Amino acid sequence: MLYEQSQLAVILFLSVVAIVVGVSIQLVRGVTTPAGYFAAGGRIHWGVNGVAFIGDYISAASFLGISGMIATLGYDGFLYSVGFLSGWIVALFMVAEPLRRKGYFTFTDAIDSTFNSRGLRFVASLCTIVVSVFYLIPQMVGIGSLVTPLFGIPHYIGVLIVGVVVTIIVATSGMVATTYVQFVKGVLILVVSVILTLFMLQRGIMLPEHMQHRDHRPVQTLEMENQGNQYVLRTPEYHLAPHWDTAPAYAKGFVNVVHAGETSPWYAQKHSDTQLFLRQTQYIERFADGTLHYNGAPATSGRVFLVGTMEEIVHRGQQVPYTGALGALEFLRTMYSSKVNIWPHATYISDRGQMQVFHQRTVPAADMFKSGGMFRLDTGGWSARLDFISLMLALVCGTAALPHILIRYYTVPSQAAARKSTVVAIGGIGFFYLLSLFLGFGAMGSGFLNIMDTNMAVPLLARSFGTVLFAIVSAVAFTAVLGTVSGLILATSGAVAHDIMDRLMGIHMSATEKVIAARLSAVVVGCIAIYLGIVFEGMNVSYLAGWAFALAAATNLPALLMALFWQGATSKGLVASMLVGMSSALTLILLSPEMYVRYGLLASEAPLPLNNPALVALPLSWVTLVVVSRCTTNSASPR
Amino acid sequence: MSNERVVKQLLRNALYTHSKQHPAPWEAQVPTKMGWIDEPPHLVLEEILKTDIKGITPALIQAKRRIGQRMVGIYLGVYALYVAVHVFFPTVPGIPCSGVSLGLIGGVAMMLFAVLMALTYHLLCSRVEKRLAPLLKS
Repeated sequence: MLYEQSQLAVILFLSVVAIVVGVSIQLVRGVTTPAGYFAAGGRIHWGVNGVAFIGDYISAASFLGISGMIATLGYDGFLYSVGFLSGWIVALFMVAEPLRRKGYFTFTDAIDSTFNSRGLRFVASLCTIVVSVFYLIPQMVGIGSLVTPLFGIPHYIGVLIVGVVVTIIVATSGMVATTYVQFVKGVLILVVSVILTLFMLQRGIMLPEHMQHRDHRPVQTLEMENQGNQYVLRTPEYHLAPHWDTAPAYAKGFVNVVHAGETSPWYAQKHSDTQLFLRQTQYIERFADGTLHYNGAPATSGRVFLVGTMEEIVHRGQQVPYTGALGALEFLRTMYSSKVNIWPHATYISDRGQMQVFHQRTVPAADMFKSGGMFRLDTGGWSARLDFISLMLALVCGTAALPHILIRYYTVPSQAAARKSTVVAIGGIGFFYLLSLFLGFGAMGSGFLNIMDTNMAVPLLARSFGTVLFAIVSAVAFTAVLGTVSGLILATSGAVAHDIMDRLMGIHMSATEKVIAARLSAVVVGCIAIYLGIVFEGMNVSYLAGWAFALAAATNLPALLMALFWQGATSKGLVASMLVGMSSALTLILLSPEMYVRYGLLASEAPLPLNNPALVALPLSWVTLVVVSRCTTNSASPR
Repeated sequence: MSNERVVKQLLRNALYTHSKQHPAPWEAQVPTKMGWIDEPPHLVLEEILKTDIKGITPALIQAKRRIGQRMVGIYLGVYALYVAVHVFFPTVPGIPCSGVSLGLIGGVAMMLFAVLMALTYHLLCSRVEKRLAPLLKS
């Protein structure tokens, strides 16, 4: 079996759940006002808030996804972390103190502070909900990738458990409990990342036959030779599938082979004019009804095998089977000069459905230290370059516009505290991303990589050191989901209860009734989050989080910055900007190559080559705001 | 220069008008620049000096805003350069350097630069706040 169920992981997870729920219930009596529920009364210390920022921001996409991308794609995964961190600079310099100065509860409050416009409040709260839901989906889906291998329970049960826990946290004590959950999460993530990195450096790099806790199985190879104008396999148990040379697989470099009644693709490598070597692959089949099979069977069948091995290790100019303990820079240098087995993939449509096939390839590890794993900047033409620019633009502009990040600025007592907490966050998040670099490259050669679920790269790297560390890292990964989801549910419930019910609809409520309305909203949003996590099972986590950034950048950022800094902005301009930004970003996402693959089609069939919409939607939103503002005036009375 | 003169100078630098449709009433009294303004235009210079809005003044706001705008411009310029190198010279990040690739060193340098900029911004803003604190308390 790929994973072993760890009782320690279950105990740690339940302990974390008990602690956070206990803290939330303990704090509930102190939360009696909307200011207390939405903004923790503005009394959070900047140091606590700074670490809570780290816990709020480092979601499953960062903690699991970034290291997973570096482990499989190398340098291109690292570029994501550069973009993510750069977004915090925009937040610090442009948003932190002005937002805190507005001194209310939600993103909508900041946008509408000068205009007092019902239309603006409605659109801003709608945008908050849409962006938060987009970010919520990958978090809830990510739960399933953890609970299924760890506890052996179905995806939907895991989503249900975590969803209920988070809803209890938010519905009881709101921002206060959320802050301390995120604070604990931030500390745990940093500590565990440091420990895992130190373990990895202490172990060094080794060839697979020297690895502990691992049953080393080399990739199978078959010989295929031409015998009288007909190709046959020399291994008698394997046969070539009928019409193998006209099948869609062959056009992608794979040969369909039949063994024990099952057909599977094998990667063809030419050995001579009459001989081919066929290498074993791993593959994901997506059937028309959405069912996924891994290596010809459901995921629980255990057919997936671990990969991620070094082919050759060159340490200080000499070829060695293992290096022993390494320093940080020495680790990177040794990786750079060695050879590693990577698993690139190809996608094609077969008669059974969509096939995504991973095959092993030995490359100089130096190739993983430059772009090419995901971004084809030198060979992909201008479509690849524009897509890259769009992604980097979304990452740098998205952070400062994420509603669940912005509401955290209201929890500190002053502008200076908002600034200090952001500086703490930048330092902590930067440190985490540096550690992710090492964790990613470490996972690449650890021999414990699941190429078909790269989000498990960090937990499986921990698994290579034994079950105890695996259990601890898995429990921390759960808290990563808890912290971010609680912030998202709080932001969304604020949009519903405070922005829509109170400020927009004008429902007259006492302070106690407002808190009750906020709690009920949190429960409803939590139920919706659980539903979404179940429905979207199987989706890639990192891509969805990236889209949330693009959506936030195009929808919220122009409106926020112009509302804060430009006196010429009008409410109609802001409304038009947010609507144009949201609609254009969503349209481009639905027509993107990545979504076409999700539809079961080929990426090349997508009408637009951009996977990320920021390059088009962000300028469009900005221009709309300026043009409409110039053509209109503010009709609503200021506060 | 005394603290009061410093504040007056800062306020003069900080007072902007934003639109000819809404001229600030103090325009005839102190020189102004075309630009962006944050606080309501009806506050006159003397009122601003006398008013202590919980330690916040337009001068302080404008000073920190300008620091932020300049620094974000610097950082985004460097970030744009980093992205441009990848787009227009895609082989450059792959150049070997110090036993790893130039791109990796550049990426780590960007992260360290971000932390450095954050600390610098905090120090500059703290300095401005400390400079105006005695006057605000008097």
